[in-house]
Amino acid sequence: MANPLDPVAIINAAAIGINALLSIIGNLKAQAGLTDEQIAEMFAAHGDATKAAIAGYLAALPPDA
Amino acid sequence: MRSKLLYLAVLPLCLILAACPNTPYGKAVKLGLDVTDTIHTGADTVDKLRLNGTLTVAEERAALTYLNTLNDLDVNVYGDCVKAAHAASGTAQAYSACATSLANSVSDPKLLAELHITNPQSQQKVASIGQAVSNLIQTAINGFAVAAQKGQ
Repeated sequence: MANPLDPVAIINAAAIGINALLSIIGNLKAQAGLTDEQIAEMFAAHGDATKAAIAGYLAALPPDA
Repeated sequence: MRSKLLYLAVLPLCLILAACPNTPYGKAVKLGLDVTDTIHTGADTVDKLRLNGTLTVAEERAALTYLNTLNDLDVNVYGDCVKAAHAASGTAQAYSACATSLANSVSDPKLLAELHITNPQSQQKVASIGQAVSNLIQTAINGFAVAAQKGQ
């Protein structure tokens, strides 16, 4: 288990946070100017993509230690 | 902790700065989209936390299962509610009811209890993703209230 006060762990956590923000900002820029129906289609597509991503992460997990 | 605070503080700002739909239906589907995107980012984050040793394999499995449930609530339950409201030429109040129902489901203590993450700090990190989702929903509910006052 990583020490929460470890500078490397803090930098890693900050990097994860910044990546998350960049991802969200990118999505928002891509959504600008879309019609309601197009956003509704994106909602359905992103929902499927999120479910697939979670399934992928679950499938790739190593056995419990 | 810092990343969590940064994430929670900047996300609403990003939403304010972004081009937002004008109709209640647009706002409703945008909320669903924002929620699923937040969950996707949360899943990516959870996997990275396991890779850097913050979460165990079992904890990542529990967190991903939790996020999958949130995504199902968003896409299926909330999505169907919004579709039904739209088909009925819904008002802002109808969409607000959908969002309120989603908020209640997301904040259900039974859902968090299924996380089974023993390390309090790790549980807090995963719970912060759920909190970010709750904040998104609350922002949208506030927006629906404004739209309802305008008679939309």
